[in-house]
Amino acid sequence: MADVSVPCSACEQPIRRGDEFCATCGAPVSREAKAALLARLEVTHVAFATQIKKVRSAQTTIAVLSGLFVVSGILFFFITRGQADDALTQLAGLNDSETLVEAVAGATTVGELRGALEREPYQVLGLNLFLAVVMLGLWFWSKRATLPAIITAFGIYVAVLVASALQDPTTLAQGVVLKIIVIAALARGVSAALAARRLETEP
Amino acid sequence: MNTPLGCSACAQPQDADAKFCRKCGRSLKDGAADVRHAGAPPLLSSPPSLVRSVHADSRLLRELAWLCALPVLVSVAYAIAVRMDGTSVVKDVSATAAMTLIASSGALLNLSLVCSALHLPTAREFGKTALIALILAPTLAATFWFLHEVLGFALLDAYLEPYLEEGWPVALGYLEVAVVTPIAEELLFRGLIQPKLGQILSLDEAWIVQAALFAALHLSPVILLTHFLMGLALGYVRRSSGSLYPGIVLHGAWNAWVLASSQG
Repeated sequence: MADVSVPCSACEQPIRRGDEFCATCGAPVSREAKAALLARLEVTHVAFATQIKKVRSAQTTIAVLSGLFVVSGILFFFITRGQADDALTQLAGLNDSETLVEAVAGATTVGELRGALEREPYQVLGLNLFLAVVMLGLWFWSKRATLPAIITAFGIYVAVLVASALQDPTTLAQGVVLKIIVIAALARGVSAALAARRLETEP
Repeated sequence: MNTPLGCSACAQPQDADAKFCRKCGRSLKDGAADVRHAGAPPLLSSPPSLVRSVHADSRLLRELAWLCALPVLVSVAYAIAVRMDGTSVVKDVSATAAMTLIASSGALLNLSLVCSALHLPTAREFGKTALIALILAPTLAATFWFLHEVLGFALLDAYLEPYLEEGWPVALGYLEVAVVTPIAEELLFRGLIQPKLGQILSLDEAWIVQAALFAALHLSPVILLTHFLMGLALGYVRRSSGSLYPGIVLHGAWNAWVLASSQG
């Protein structure tokens, strides 16, 4: 792929894929030049184009994940709050200092349980929004360096799925088709980004 | 075989006739230097062009997948066992033993890689580690305080309960949390995962991704951020000193502090 180049805007010498600066005059490579080079490579090297397509779909998946986390954060905020309200009405009339027959999630008194129930919807919302921000950050990173960003997104997403399944196994089945699609797209993106990097560094 | 001509500043491979570095833009005064003689830090990676074959790549990805998946399986098994009939010392010890087994097996299969990192660093490196600890500790402590007191997450509060209930010495819990686990995790993440990532990513990328995986594999969104910061600090210490020892000490000291301050 080293045979494909675009001319440096300053000195007209060839800029190749992966260059951040011109090797002849030191001028920084513009974003337009990088985009033009990528477009050329996709036309001339079919194998590379196939990999880039998979990488792009993984990048889109990361952005979609970010949106999905926002949506699920809002959704589960209201669901959790509804469940918490139901539980709180059952506790109505009980004194805060009364001890529970059986400790629930670390709470030993009614007061502690009330506090935990009231906090839970916000914890759920906060976690989901945090993950949405993380995915958004990874999407930006994937524009500059695809391979590490996709690996990280894959690892974090799988870990989040496992963690929420441990917390509440019923969540595993929710949207399982979507989850499988996401995992498959990210996994494909990892091997495609790696293959693309190999093709780029070959002479 | 590619001669590793590279930029003496950022160690990226260059052509022999290049006048400026392709990656960092610095002027290459006498042409690209031979990286091996340019005082480059101990290689935690080989430049991408040296590890070419697709076969080697998929093998590497598979190894990394195992190194990440096995600890997750242990955590899942532990969580299911605890859900069924509560925590116990046997479960704790088994989980820690399983993790150590995974880390040791990985180390045995990559003996030269791990042994090259088991040397005492210079006094200067230890000083650097202490400095990082001084900067990091208040940041992490503040974050933990926020999570624990303000947001109400439980963290390690109940960790020593089974030890007290079953009559085991509290020291056993500390041994697991502050000695064995740090050794296993440093071996696994900084001793194996970071260098292996370094074969397909740049050193900086491998450092960041390792920290992200370290955070993710603890399977708790609550501590994702704090463990990411820890992973960055420990990964940096490993990179700059070339040794696993400073990280083990830092990690152990930190775990001991968190355990101690979660009690009571």
